[in-house]
Amino acid sequence: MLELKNVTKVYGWTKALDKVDLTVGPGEIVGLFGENGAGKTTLMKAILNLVAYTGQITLDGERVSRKNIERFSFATCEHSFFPTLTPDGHREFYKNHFPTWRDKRFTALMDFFKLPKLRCLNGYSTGQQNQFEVILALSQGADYILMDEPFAGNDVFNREDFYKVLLGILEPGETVILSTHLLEEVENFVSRAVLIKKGAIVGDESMSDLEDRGESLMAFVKRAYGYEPDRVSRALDKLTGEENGEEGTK
Amino acid sequence: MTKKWITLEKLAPVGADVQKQLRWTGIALAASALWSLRGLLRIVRSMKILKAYIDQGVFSSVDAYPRYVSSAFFGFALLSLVLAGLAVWNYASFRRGARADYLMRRLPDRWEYHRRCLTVPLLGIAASVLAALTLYVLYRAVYWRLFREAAAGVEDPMRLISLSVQAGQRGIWR
Repeated sequence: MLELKNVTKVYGWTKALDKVDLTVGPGEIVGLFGENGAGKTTLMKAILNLVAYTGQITLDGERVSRKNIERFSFATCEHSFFPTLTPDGHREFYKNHFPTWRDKRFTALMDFFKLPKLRCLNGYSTGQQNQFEVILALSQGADYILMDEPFAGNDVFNREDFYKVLLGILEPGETVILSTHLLEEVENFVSRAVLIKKGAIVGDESMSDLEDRGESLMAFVKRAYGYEPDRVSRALDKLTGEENGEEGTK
Repeated sequence: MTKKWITLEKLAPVGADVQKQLRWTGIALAASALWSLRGLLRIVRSMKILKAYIDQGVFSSVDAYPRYVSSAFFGFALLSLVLAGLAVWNYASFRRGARADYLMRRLPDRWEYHRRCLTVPLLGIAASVLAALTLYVLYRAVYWRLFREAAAGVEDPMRLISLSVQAGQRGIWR
């Protein structure tokens, strides 16, 4: 069980995380949603101890530290692989550092996505790099797989394949926390939706509860975010009104 | 339990050429040692002159030892600075093209990241300091040996050594 209690992160004058309380159990696939700068990435980095924070983050009752950090993996749109290393080089590196490395899964995913095995990562396309980043995160053998906008730059077919593969290969104890803007795409993939706004959790619902209520993920996000449906029409009215007014004065 | 051997490749950033880093460090060390020979040559030359004057019965003096080697170890100092820069470069290499530092910072082995960035620079700096100290002591031994030979038979030979290294005092220069 991953537990965040009162987690706060401040960058200068900006509160990137504001007293975040969150609990994620084994086997959950959590979608982490929020606008740009809402704090999704900072939240993941705090979990991984990549940024300093106040509050407490524990995994099965123990603070996240070097002792249990291998139970987390991380796929980020910034990419955390070694650009000058081949996939086999990565395999060796991960094998040396993560005893739970899943070699069979790595090979299967590499084959599935037809990624070149002898080419260094800096010779991959952005889409291929994203795929490889996620493959590494899935193959590390972690219990908690954190993915931060992993498919940014991938085409829709690519992403769909990935969701299918993910659902097919994840074992019951594996937990995924996925940050993305692609709400509709992951609606059938995630089991829970967590919304973050200005560093605070503003919504947390299981997909089954949403289904029971007959509410779509998009509708839930818009509601929790206080989205104003008539915002666009009001803006357009104002703009066109101004233009008409200007024309009228000529 | 299998013993994990640390190979050379594990002592430099992933994908970096550790052999190259070590080779260049070695070359720079050798160059620094060669440069330091300037100090030794100055000592030998001065002692020869001192001996020649003494043999002719003319009073002369030589500089105190530190004056001869004050610039001789410049190469080692420069090398240490460059190696400190290499450490920074190594850390930065994990941010070039991707954020591999995220991976390095979440490895169960807390020292892996620093080992890869600091080993070659620290070894190089240590070798540089050790070489400089060794040569300093060696040249000092040569200085005193040559001085004793040159000043053999001179009463109170220490007066032949200029005290110009003392703060604020200028000595007799030749």
